Amino acid sequence: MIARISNEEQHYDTKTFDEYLHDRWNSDSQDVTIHIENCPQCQRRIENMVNDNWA
Amino acid sequence: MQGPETRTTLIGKLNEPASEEVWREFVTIYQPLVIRVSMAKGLQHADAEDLAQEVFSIVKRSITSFRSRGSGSFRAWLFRITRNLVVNQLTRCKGPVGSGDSHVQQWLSQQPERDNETASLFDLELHRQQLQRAADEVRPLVEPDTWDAFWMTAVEGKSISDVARSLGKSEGAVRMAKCRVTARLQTAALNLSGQWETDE
Ligand SMILES: [Zn+2]
Repeated sequence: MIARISNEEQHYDTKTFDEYLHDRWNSDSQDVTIHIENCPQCQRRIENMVNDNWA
Repeated sequence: MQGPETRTTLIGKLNEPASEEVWREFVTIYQPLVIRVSMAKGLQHADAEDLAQEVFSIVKRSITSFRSRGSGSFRAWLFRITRNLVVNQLTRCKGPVGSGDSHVQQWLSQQPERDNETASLFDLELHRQQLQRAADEVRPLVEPDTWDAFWMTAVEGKSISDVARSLGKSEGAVRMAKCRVTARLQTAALNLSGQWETDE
């Protein structure tokens, strides 16, 4: 798997996650998508975000 | 789910002149719900369809008095009308056991007998109906692979790793496809229920 993360600390915020979830991009989508789909930490946060919305 | 108060603009329009379109939309949303609940309670399909017609004619006649009462939810009101008619019907025919939708039957058989059993089923069906309509809206907007990943994991209950293997995607991609479709369904369902369920 190609991890194009130069800095391990650099994850994304909920605003970017929301753009990612709904395909409403204000930023470069490809880098974000590649990061998220290879980053368990961001994936966990996104899953929590989505699950919280059912509550 | 939305809160119980339901004085919505669309419900307000149901008995206005030239409200045929709103009325058709209302029937589209609620007819399958009334039919499924009636069948789950033991009516045959044809009887459930007749009963739905009866429910809607009562709603049409009584919407003004419902609106002027000013309390209670529309959903609860519709549920009471449906339940009363189902009970009448079953008493009339000494309760034939309907064939019903097998999933609903299965779900029902897993529930303990409770007074609010039908109320829960009604809410569950309403929720399912909203999700179904949301799915119809969202599906054309996402990539087929993304939809499949969502469907196989969330609906068919397959494991992330199995689905990743069968679609030739990474597990992360499958996990995120499920999240993306779910998020869009949530937004679409919220918009739909907002049309019929929010406060005025
Ligand atoms: Zn990350």
